[in-house]
Amino acid sequence: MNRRSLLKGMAAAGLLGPAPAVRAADAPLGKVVVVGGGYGGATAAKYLRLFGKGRIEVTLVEPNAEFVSCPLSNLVLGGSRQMTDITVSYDALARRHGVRVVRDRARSIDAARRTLRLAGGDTLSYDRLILSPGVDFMWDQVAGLEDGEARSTILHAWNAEHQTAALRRQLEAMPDGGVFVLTIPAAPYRCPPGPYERACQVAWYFKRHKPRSKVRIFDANQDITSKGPLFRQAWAEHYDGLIEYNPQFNAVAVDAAARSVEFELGETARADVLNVLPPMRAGAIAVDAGLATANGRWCEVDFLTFESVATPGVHVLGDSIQIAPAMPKSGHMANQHGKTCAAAVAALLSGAPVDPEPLYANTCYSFTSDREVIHVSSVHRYDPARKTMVSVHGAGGLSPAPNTRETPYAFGWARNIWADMLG
Amino acid sequence: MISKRLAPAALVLAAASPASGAPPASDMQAAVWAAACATCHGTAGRAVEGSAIPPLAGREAGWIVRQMRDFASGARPATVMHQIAKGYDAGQTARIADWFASQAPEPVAPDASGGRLQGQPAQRREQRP
Repeated sequence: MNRRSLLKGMAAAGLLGPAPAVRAADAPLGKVVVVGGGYGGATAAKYLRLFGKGRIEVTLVEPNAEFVSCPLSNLVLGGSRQMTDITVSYDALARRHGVRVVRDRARSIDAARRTLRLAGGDTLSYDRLILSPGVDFMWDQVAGLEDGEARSTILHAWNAEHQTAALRRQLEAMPDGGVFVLTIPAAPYRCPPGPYERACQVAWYFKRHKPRSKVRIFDANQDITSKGPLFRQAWAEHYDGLIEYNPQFNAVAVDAAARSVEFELGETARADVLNVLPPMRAGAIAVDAGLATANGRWCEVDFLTFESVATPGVHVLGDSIQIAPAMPKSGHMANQHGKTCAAAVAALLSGAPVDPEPLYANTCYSFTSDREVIHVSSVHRYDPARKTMVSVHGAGGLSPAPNTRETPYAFGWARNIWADMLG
Repeated sequence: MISKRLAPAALVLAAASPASGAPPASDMQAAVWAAACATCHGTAGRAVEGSAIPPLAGREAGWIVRQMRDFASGARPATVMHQIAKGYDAGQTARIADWFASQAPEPVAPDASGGRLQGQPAQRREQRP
């Protein structure tokens, strides 16, 4: 909380001098611009309208016509689901909640003037700005991917969108007996269990249609970064001999023509389909605005408000932030950030105190086949001494084993969280 | 300088309310805590039609409190709620339960359920190679 908002809060609570003039109950509280219509930004936009009781003018800037979910997108690679199954309209945000949705890309921030410039040329003014730009890729960390042409054949498919469908087409075009190579960057990256789920989905497809093919995983980390024993169990039960896991292989270069990847210690691997997840950092708009104060990669925030520690009036949430201990970069977590931030911004704009005790949970399902799932869960509370979120001791946990009992809940999770952010 | 903790402390005092069943419409902190549950149980506890995850809007507060207690103790078996329930103390649970009890259990419009994803797994529609 900065000094200005603290004083406003204390004034509203009657702790300072003369009471401020009472606002009319329906007076506008201010203008908020939200950048990015993913799990964090869309949730923040909708909940600003709910928590602000319609008195906050909310503009959502999003370049894509429709929302496409990263969670469940690996099922599209496996072939058990289609892109249309994971695509949701932004229409209800405007129609039902009065969010102004602007289809454009954020270009630059003038924090002193409190304006946001858009790629299309328009300039939006704001009282508070919320950035939820997801991740960008550190292309300079993988030699050969600096230029755009190699990137048209060596895909990441880590933002859903068109790359997911394109990678599926590469898998369909691959002959039986081919090799799918997946490289995983050192943590932190978006969606810790996602790469291992992807290996399951591609292997599920191979097992049924291209059984002589192989999935080779090369992981820059020491070991599987999330749900390790559960993924190993699924691999052993369903994909024995189909999935090969190689820890401590950090991809540093690719050869697009040869479809090969080179690792830090000089080894190489050739692929028929090469899927490289480059190292990640905060979305470009946040990095360019100087908000990535942690190693130039992630944005440090005040966990009570998600306000940037670098720039007052600008909030950052979702995968772009420097995470708290044991807090995953997940869509579910971004949804929780969005609500905490929306409530704090509504309080700050109305001169009310900010809630000092945020409390929320994370649940993340991974599909180990077309129907079998595993989950990890956790509960997070604010620790005022450490000024960060910590996981509540004794809460949270994992599935006991890959199972189908949780499958209806996994699909229910998807439908409810999409409705919660966009419906 | 006045402590930064003062204003938040005032909020908590103002917002605290017993688990009485009285509509805690002004308990903004509970509303935001409950919003964390909404991620799976639907906005304001109104789950989408056909959801395996049950709605919470309009449920009796005592019922919600009992379920959370039974999840945490293991008396009611669960796939994930036994892990989540352990993260909430009795006071937090009571205020969240009061808040959900005060919400009208309205149906969720079908077009709000998101995408064309159905609740049942795997209708095979992939292209054969």
